[in-house]
Amino acid sequence: ISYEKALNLQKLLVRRRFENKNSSDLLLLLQHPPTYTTGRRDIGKTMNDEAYLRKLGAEYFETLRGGQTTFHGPGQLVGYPILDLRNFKLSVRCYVAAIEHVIINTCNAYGIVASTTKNTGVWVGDDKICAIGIQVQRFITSHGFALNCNTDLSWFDHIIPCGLEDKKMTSITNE
Amino acid sequence: MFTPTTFGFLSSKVVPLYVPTFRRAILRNTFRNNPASRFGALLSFKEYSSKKFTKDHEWIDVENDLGTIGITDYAQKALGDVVYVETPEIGTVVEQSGPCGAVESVKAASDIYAPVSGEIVDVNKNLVETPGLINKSPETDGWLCKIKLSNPSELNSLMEEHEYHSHCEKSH
Repeated sequence: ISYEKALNLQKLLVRRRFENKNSSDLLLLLQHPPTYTTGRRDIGKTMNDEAYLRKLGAEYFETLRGGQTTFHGPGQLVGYPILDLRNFKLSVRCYVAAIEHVIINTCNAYGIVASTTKNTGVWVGDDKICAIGIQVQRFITSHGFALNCNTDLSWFDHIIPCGLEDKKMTSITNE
Repeated sequence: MFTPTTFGFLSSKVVPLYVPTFRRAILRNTFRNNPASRFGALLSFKEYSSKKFTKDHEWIDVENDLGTIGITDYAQKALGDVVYVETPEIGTVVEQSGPCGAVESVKAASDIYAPVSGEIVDVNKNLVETPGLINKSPETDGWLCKIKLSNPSELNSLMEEHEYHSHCEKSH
């Protein structure tokens, strides 16, 4: 599903949560065509990057989530939990840690030893296997995680993923 | 003959003596004649400058019709280490409970909402270089922005400090 359609769907679902507190918590699981996205703090600052990345044949979106530039594409499992954090009595910090925990368990199921580091996300050694970027509006979450399953990792060569210059990406297939 | 110079000279000498004496006389009479008015005076001073809280963990400290807005200590603990703060633009007109900036921590951008309606007249530029101020001093030096209130009666819908603390305890 295109990133734009998924983004509009998330906005609609979040708005519905504001209007109806009894709406269910949801998890959207999907794949995107090749798309680069960046987070809130880089809005309006990446026009040169956008032109370059679009020339590679990818879409480009600035979003209101946390985090910096990352890639979404075929072979990557993207998850967008649309939750009310109050239902789980979770702080933002604990919610992100819970996502990391779920991804680590998922990697374990494939015999991969994954962990967290001082940088948010899920790592296998020094390589990042799953990126996380969240938006919270009135306790309602949107955006989420992106787990590399058999993603073509060469797409990441054109950016500094999540702003970390000395780190590389990996995938379940790679490991 | 009183010339402007003479008057200016005298006023600079007389007024400093006269005003404190005048103030002491007022206070003395007030307390002597009506001790309860001391408490009234204190109360009215508190109404003039007081901190209120929202259920979404923002605070606003108002003096006359100028409010300083930030997020509470409870909120900063829940967020974790703040790495980026998005302040609203000066001149923006916001509505009560409308978006008023955002705070990013652990790759999560959390929207902040205006406790009251008004115009943003100042933002805390220190947060650009030192976003961690929000963690260190969320309710003092880590203020987010200042707002000129357009409807001070909206403050009545906000919580006093003790009500806010009860609200936080119920959220656990």
